Parts: sequence; structure tokens; C-alpha cells
Amino acid sequence: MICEKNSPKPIDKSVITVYTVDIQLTEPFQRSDEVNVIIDNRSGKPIYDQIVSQIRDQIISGALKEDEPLPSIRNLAKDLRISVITTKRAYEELEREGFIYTVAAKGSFVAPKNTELIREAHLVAIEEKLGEVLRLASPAGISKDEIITILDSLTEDEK
Amino acid sequence: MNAIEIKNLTKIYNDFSLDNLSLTLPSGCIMGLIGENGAGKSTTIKLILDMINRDGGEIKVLGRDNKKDFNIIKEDIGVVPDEIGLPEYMNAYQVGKVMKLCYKNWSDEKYGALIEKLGLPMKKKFKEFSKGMKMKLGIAIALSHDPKLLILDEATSGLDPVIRDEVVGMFMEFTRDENHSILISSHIVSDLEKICDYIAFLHKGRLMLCEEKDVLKDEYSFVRGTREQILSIPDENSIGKKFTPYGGEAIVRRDSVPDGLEAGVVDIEQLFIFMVRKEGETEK
Amino acid sequence: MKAELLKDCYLLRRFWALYLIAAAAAFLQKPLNLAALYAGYIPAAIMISDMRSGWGEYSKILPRKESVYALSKYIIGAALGLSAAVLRLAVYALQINIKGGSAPFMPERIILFAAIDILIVTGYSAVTIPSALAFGLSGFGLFIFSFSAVMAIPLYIWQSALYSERINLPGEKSLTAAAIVFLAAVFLYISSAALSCILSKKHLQPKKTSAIIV
Repeated sequence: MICEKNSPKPIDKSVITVYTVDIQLTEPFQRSDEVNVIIDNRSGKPIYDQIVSQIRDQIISGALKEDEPLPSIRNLAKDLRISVITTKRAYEELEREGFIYTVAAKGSFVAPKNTELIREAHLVAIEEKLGEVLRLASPAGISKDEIITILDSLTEDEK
Repeated sequence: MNAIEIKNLTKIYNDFSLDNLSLTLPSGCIMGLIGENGAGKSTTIKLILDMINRDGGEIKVLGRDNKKDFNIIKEDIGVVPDEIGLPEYMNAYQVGKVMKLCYKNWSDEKYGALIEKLGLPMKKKFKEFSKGMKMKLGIAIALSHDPKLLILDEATSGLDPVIRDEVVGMFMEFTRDENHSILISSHIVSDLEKICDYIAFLHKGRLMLCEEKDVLKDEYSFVRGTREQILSIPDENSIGKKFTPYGGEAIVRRDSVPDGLEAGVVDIEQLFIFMVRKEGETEK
Repeated sequence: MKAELLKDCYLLRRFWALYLIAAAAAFLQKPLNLAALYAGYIPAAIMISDMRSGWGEYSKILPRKESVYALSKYIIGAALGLSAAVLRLAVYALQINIKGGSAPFMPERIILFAAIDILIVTGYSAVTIPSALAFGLSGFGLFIFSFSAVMAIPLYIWQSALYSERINLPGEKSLTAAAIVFLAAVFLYISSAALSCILSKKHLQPKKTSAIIV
């Protein structure tokens, strides 16, 4: 397991630590792909949640392929310098959602792609974002109709 | 197996006592023992190592009672006490020679590598070491005999941020092995918070809580708002509140965050300060 | 035990040169045993230095018996006592050779002197080591340190009297006296070591007091 610390811009390192976890798993697995996990300490989002959403995104986008091995719970924690319990929880969450599966004594792997699951994941994400939209709208007195208008014009643009 | 298992530990001094303390550090985990100066952190650690006699309770370290053949277990414990009491007229090289005769598993290679990594001089007298250097030598000694449990008493407090980061990295390397555990006490938590699996709060000789860090982070939430918003939070739902002329902040149970306020992540140091303050208020 | 001895030997280096000079210079002039008294002080001085640096406390983390810490000092003390005696005999032998066989006094007498040296070194350690363990470096501990040094004065006066032949002790009686003195030293030393073992097994809280200069 090699862990590189990238800091391309002079950012405040105490706040954001970017780790590229390059997986060079010991046999029997061989792979060259990377799992990218970026932990933002100042974000309001719990760390386990950050890991879950980032790995989930990479699975959905196809950056992580079916049956690819993921870093072990312990190694991921140590590379990210976070609690083992946190990574364990993130993996449990991913497994519960059906994105990864675990083989005893071998580790965790990316689960076969399930379109239904992805659709559901996206729906959840959309619901979350829309909730945010509503929170933004209400103090400014923006009505539901106005939001729908914005949505319509956005879809127009995309066409 | 549990690395440390403490049940109903009691130690009574004239002006201070450790009251019925129970905590468990599972193997493979890191526990942060947090408390103000004089809260009983060092006393707890000395009791774990049987450096002082307990007045009651039970302590098991690496599965064995620390009153029975504890020397066998001590081989597997690396300790960095708050005062590194090495003889003043010896240098790191001589210290290494002495330690080699103490520990069965002592590795000169490991020790040499750590001394180099931490940038310590081999031939300088310990007397002339700075506080940070003394601490680093203590850490090198603690890691050079292949321990299974690392116990650190305020070990990172005297270090500058760069070295502290390096030392934290060494702890992470150490616990990559799932049989390795760490108990670390500190009054500053910020840089240790991330790496800890368990957090224990000690205040005036009493264990206020001992919990998985993630559970704490889940259970509590940090909110900021206007004075009125903060005041409207019922007292039983909040750990504590703090006001400025422009607004206020509070730590509340996550399930009772008032509408309109964003539930922020609580950091352990804030939680500790708020809890201690609340305790102080109830005492009054 | 080996570790503690090695550590004490490292610390001994600081005292060694001064001791040798003092001893050699003293023996050439007189039966003066201030050098022996200095040697007797060394084990306790190492212990004081240990306490001051916090080694007594720090070494409790090591996987070993707690009595090792004190026993090592006794071994150092015994070695120093023997070395003081050997040194005296060596100087005596040297004197005979240089002066062409005319000994300054009879050989039996020098054996008694050597025995007294041993008694002074070990006797002083035998009192100071347990008292350092029991009382630390606080006022009472210091009192015992100086008081036990005073105890050496009668021995010194006796030795001087023997030397100047104010007291006349025939050769045979000298040897008996030497044997008695030596046995007394051994007895005192062993009982002191036993006491120190008991003292160090108790969980003593080292008193943090202003250290004296060693």
C-alpha cells in the first residue's frame, strides 16, 4: 500500500488532506486502479459519510469496476489517518446499500453493477439536493412554481 | 481480546481520588484519554502499569491481571511517560545498549532507524536534550522492542506540529497490525481526535464517558444561531450553550436540532469543554 | 540486572577519574581513607543522580524486578570497596619495591587497613542507599548522608592511630582484627541490601525535592 500526499496548491493542510490511495494489493489480486478518497475535516458531513459517498460515486461512474478489490478496512483507516471504526462503518454502509461485497479473510470488492440500485442511489441524491433547494428557497420567499420554472429552463438548456 | 480492561478501579489520595473507573480498550484500537491537567490521566496510566498500588478494582492488560507476573506483559508494552526519566549523563547510544539488556525483543536496527527518522543525535548527553527531543527518544525506546500495546502519557504535548504529525504517522503505522493498540492521554485533542477509535473523558478523577468516537459524533451536533434560536433549545437536549454579543452556539443531541439550524459536526475538544462546564454548573 | 549495572557503569565514569586520583594521592601520603569515603559515597551519588533524572520512576516501566534498581548499587559499592582495598595493597607493594624491600610497616597491618577501607566504603553505602530509598533527597535523607559520614571518623582515627603506632597491635592480632572488620562489613552490607530490597518493593512515591549537587 503506497500512500502519497498531494498538495498541488498552497491550501491549508490542516483542513483538507488529500490522499491518493494507490492500491497495490498483495496477491492474489493485481490491479492498477486507484480509489480516491478525500477527507475534508471542516465539512459538516461525517467522515464515514464522505467515504461512502465518494466510493459510491466512483462505483456508479465506473471508475471502480466490478469485482475490483477495495483497500482493507484497516489499511484505508491508517492511510487516511482516521479511526478503524469509521472505515469499518463506511464499508458496512456500502455493503448494506449493495455497492460492495465482502469475502471473509479476503477483503471487500466492488459488487456487480445493479442498474436498479444506481437509479435508486441517484434518486436519493436528487432528493437530498432538492431538500437543499427548498431550504434555500423558503427564507427568500421563492415559491415552488418559481423553482419549477428554473428547472424547466435548465432542461431546455440541456436540450 | 482486549488490550486493556479496567473494572471499578479506585485510588484514593488525600486531596484527590480516582473514582470507580471502568473502561475497555479492544485490541487493534486507539483510545484517547482526555482530561484537564490533574484529572487523573497520569494516575490511571500509572495504575495500569502497576507503578502505584490501587485501592480497589481490577486491571487486565493484554489479557493478564497486572498483579500477576506482570513482567511478562511489560515486555509487550511500550510506554512513553510524561517525564522521560533517562539518566542525564547518558547519550542515545548508551541508552540503546542498556535497553537491549532490558527487553528480550529489543531491536538495535529498529532503534537506530527511529533515532535517525526522528533526527536525534546519538552522542549528545540526554541532559542537553530539549523537551521535544526527550519525548522523541522516549517514543523511540517504546517502539523498539516490538510492543503490542503502546501507552503514551501526554507524549505529543511537547512536540512541534511538524514532528507531531510525523509521530501521529508512526502511530498509524504501528496500528496497521490489528494486534497493536494504543492508549494515549492528552489535554489537547485536536490532532489526535481523528486517529482515535475510542474517546474517554476524565474529569476530576471521574470517567465522564467512554465511547466510540463515531457514536459521539453521531449523537451530538454543534449548532450556531442567533441568541434567540440558541436560547429556545430546551436545556435537557443540550450539553451546553455559549453566547457572544452576536449570537450563540450550542452542542445538542443530533435528533433535537431545532428547525432552521444547521447540524454541524461536533469536535471532541468542544464537546469536552461543554461537558465539563455543564458539570461545573450542576455542581453549583 | 545487567542493564542496570551497565547503566550504573556509564554513570560511574563521572566519578572514576577523581576517585583514582584521590585514592592514589591519599595512600601515598597517609592511611587517609577520605578516598574510601568518597568511594562509599559513589553508589548513593549514582542513586541520587537517578532520582534527580527520574530514572527510579521511569525504570518502573521496564520488565524487571524493582529491587534490581537498588541491588545494582550494592554491587557497584562492593566493587568499589574491593577496589579501594586492592588499591591500598597495590600502593603498598609499590612502596616496598621502590624503597627496596623496607616496608613502612608490617604486611599484617596493611591487611587490616584494607579491611577498614572495605568497611568504610560498604558501611557508608549500607546506610546511604536505604535512606535514599526511604527518604529521597529531602532534609532527613541529607541528614543521614552527613551523619553516616561522621560515623566514619572513629574508624579513621583508629586507622591513623594504628598507622602512627600510637596503638600497638601485634601482627597476629591485626589479622584477627582484619577478619572481624571484614565480616562486620559483609554482615552490615548484606542486611542493608535486604532492607533495600524490601524498601524498593514497596511502591515508594519519589519525593520531588530540590536536588543536591552531586
